[in-house]
Amino acid sequence: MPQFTNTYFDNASTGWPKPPEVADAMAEFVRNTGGTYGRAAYQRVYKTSSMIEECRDELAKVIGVGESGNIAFTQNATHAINTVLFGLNLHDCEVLVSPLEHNAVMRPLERLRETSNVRWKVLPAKEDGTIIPEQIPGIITDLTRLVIVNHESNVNGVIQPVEKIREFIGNIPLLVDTTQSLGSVSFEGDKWGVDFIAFTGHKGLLGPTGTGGFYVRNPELLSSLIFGGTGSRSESMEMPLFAPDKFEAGTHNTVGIAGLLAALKNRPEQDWNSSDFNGLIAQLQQVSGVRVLTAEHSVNRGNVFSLVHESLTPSTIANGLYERFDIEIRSGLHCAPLAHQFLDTFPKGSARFAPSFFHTKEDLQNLGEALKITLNDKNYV
Amino acid sequence: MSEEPLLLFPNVHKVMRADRICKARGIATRVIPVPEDISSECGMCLIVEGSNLSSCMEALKEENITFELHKRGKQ
Repeated sequence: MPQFTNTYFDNASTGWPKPPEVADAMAEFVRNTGGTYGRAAYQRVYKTSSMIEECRDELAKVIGVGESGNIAFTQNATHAINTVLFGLNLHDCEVLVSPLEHNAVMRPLERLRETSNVRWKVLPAKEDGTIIPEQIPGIITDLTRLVIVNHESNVNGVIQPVEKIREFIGNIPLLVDTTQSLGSVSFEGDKWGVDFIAFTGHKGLLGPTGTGGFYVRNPELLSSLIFGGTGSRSESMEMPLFAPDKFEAGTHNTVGIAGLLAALKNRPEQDWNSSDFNGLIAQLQQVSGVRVLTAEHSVNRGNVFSLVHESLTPSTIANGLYERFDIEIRSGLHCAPLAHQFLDTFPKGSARFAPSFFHTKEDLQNLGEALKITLNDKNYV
Repeated sequence: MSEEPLLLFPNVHKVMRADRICKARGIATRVIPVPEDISSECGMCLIVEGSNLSSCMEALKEENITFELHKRGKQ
C-alpha cells in the first residue's frame, strides 16, 4: 500500500499547504498591524502601505518587469483578466486565443461577443495545444486587436512559448494569463514584450486566496473596471488616470497581501524535479486504456497533467483514489471547456493532478502506484 | 517661522517609493498627512528633514520619480 507524506494533489485548484509564515503574517497583521493603504499618515498606515509596496516590488521580480507601479492588486486573476478585457473597450474586432484558455478568459470574451461584436479565433496549435508561432501571421487580420495566451494550461500543463509568440504577432497587444504557471515557471514580462500579465496569489505563489492582480505595460490603454475611493485625487468624483490607483478602488485586501508577501519571501525547497515528474508521466503512459494529457515535449511541461481512461470516468478515478488512498484531485472540465473541446475530452473532462513543493519524490512514485492499482481494479470497471 | 520642504506625489505608490529611495541614501524623511492648503488629498506626503532637499531631489530625479515641491511652516 503506497504511503504518502501529502495526499493533496489538487494544487491546480489552489496551492496547499502554504508556508507556515503565510498564516503567521496574516495573524500578525490582524492582531497587531491593521491600518489601510495610504489613507492617512500615522505609523500603522505607513507600515501597511510599505508592506503593500514591498509586495508589489516582489511581484515585479517574479513576473520580470521593471515598473512595479504598473502592477495592480485585484481579488483574483479572473478579476484581473476582466479588468483588461473590458478596460480595453474592444468592439467590432477580433481577438486571438490559445486553444487551452480557461473560462476566466472565455466568459468575458463571450460577453464581449454578445455586446460589442468582438469575435474570437483560436491560434494555430499542435495536438497538445502548444501554439505554433510561425503560423500565427496567417490568421491575423486588420481587425485583430489582442492576443491572449494561457501561459500554462490548467488542464494538461502545456507551457506556451510566449517570447516566440510575441515575435510573430508584431505590435498587437499581448495578454498572458500566468495563473497556473507563476511560482513554478519563470516569466520575463519585459524581455518578452508582454503588455498585460494576469496572475493569482493562491496557486504556485502559495499565498492566500483573495489575492491576485495584473501588470499593464501602458496603463493609458485601460479604463477602470471598478470605481470608488483610492485615497488619491480625492477632490474629484472621477477615477484617477494613473496606475495603480485607477485599478484599485476601495480598501485593499491588506490581510491577504500580508500573507502573499510572506509567501513570496519564504519559498520552500522542492524535493522532486522535472525528471521525477516526467518519470511519473512515462509510467502512466504505459498503463493500458489510459491517455495522459500532457505536453508532447517534456520541456513544455508544467506541474499539471490530466488523464482519461477508456472505461473509467474522471469522477470514478477521483473517487477511487480518494476512497482508497485519501488522494485529493479534481475531475471534470476544470472550468476550461475550450481546452477539453480542443483535446477531444469534452464534455466528461479529465482527472487532474498537480503536485506541489510539499511533495516528495516518493509521493510522486507512490501516486503512480496508487493510480495503477485504482485503474486496474476490476470492481470499478 | 522657519519652513521645511514638503514633497507631494501623485499617489501612495510614489510616496513609498520615494521614502524608500531616500532612506536607502541616508536622507531623513517623514511621512505626514497632506495639508489641506496644498491639496485635498486624503493621503500622505513627504517632509524632507534637515538640509537634505537638494540630495533628495537629485535622488528622485535619478529614479524618475516626479513630485511637486511645497514649503510648510515648521511645527
